Amino acid sequence: MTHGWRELYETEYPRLLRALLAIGGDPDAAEDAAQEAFVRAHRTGLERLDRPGAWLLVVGTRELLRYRRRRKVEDQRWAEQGPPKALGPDAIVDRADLLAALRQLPERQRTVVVARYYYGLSYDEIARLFSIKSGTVGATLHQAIERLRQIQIAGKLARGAMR
Amino acid sequence: MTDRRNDDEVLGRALSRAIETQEPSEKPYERSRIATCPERRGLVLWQVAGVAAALVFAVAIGSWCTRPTAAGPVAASPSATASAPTATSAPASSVPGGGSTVRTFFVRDSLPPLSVRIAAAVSDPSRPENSIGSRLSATYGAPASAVPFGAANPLSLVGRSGNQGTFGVSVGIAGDTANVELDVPLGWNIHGAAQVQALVQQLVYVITEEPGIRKARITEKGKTNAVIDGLVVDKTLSREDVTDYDHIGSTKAVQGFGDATTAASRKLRPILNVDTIAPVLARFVVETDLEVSSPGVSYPDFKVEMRQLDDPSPREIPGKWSLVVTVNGQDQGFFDQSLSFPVYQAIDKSPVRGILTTKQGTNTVYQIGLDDLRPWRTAIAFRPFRIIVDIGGDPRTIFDDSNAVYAPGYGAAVARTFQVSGVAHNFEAHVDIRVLDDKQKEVYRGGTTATSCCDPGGTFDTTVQLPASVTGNIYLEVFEASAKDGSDTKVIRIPLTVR
Repeated sequence: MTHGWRELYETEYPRLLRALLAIGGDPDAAEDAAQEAFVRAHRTGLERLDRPGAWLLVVGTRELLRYRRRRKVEDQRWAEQGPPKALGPDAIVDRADLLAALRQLPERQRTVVVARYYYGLSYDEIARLFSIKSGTVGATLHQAIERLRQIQIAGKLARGAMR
Repeated sequence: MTDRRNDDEVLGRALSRAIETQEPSEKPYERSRIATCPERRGLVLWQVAGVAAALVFAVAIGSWCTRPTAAGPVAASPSATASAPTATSAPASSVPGGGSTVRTFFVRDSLPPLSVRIAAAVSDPSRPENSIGSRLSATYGAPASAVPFGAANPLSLVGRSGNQGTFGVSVGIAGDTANVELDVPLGWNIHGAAQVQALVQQLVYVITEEPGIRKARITEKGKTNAVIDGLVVDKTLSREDVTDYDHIGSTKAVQGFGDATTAASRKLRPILNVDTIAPVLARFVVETDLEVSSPGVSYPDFKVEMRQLDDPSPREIPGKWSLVVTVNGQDQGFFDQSLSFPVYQAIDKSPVRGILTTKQGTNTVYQIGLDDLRPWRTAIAFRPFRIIVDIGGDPRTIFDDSNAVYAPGYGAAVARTFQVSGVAHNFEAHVDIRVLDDKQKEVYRGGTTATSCCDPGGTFDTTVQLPASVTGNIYLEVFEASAKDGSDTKVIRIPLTVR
């Protein structure tokens, strides 16, 4: 195994794992998809990867969402978790709120949000990598942010009402 | 930046921080799959057929594996085991019963499964439980020579440990669902997500091949689910659930409107190519005797639509789905008076099972029996006028139901001069093409015009000639520059190597 693979793994794996966890909500599935993305990258060859980080995100996301069955299981797990408990400081609750809100978005919105804000990819890069029409990226992102905002406000109001 | 956009960025940054502060259990590099199992990675899926060929086992699926059950799987008897390696050159023929063949499926990396017929024995084929069990049994014991080049048979690995192999099946039917209970006392012997997915895909395709069966529920003996290398399979799955394509085929009809007044004089000649235009692509062409030169001139009405085949009622065409091509004109067999309609022609080259040709008034209807509901797209071409229906193709070079590239193939080695072909539904039929080198520097920019724009689409075929300085890894991008703002749309990106 070359030094390049170790370097890529140590650089990209933590970020990829967190992105896939945010998208799917299932730590085991995220781990599996992240590992599989690296296996596929290795099979493809490092020299053939355009932007390895973004490539791994695309492949990992596809791997994560490959079966509807998986998605249903993940949805159930998130549903079972219920709303976040307001036990800690607001900042922590806000983060949990945000992640829970993210998981309420449709699959495509979830992926685009993570790609844009966590990976910092441009609209054009997201369109190209995820095979989405470029005009759709902005609209998808806008809808996702609006929805996240609504969910977040609703969560804060609910917590405020319980105090 | 507006306040709203600023707010969006703030929320985005907060979300990014929230994602970053998650604390998943991270696996160090030393324990990662690429570090610990490089040899398995090479074997994961596509070389397993060779391994399976080297191992010969007695596969005692036997009597209980096809035992019919009225409602759900019955408790499997442990008698369906065999441990000592036994010399048998034709595992399928070792199954009790008379000799015949059954259709089964083998899987391919990143491509849809491949259907082939293999030797099998079915003790009572009138019972679907028996047929499913026999099909699984035959697939499990299929010799490596039965597995087509480039395909694999992950089912053949199930339940093997060292030089022993044990695998049992119990089948029950409930409506359109087959409940299949697998007995694997020595473990699944399936490793990695890719191999698990390949196995599940193969099982679902093999099980649902039975007429009347659309879904499969796979469980382990004594459990309500199957846990294969950590992946929980606990839902009923259809072929559409396990497809390699990003989307399944559209059931929305595509229509071409021409001129119905002179239909009787139109002679139609059907042509089918499978795997010749491009790998995994079936192209069905209806060629007319009309020398139509452009879309503005009249051509026959036609309609293309995907229909689910209505089994288990008696079927005139085999397969799970049928692509129905209706054209205003008469098949050449009508003119030649050599054929008595309806005519069925067996093809049996995956994904096409056969073509049934019938007459309906002034129309000819071609029904193409298919393995599954894979994506398809249409195009028209001229001189003579042709209706082109493309079924499937490499999932990695398909953008949607309208745009796809067929050549060069994904990951192919090309000369500096190579052909680019495909189907496009673009504004004014324009297709943009560029080539990037491994540093993402553009080394070629060009374009071509498809045979027709918009719906029902056109085909394109052009030559790309790269400068002599271009070597190594390159990326071909076929796309449409947006008529609205010039941005790249419908981008299909294909990695290539200049040889």
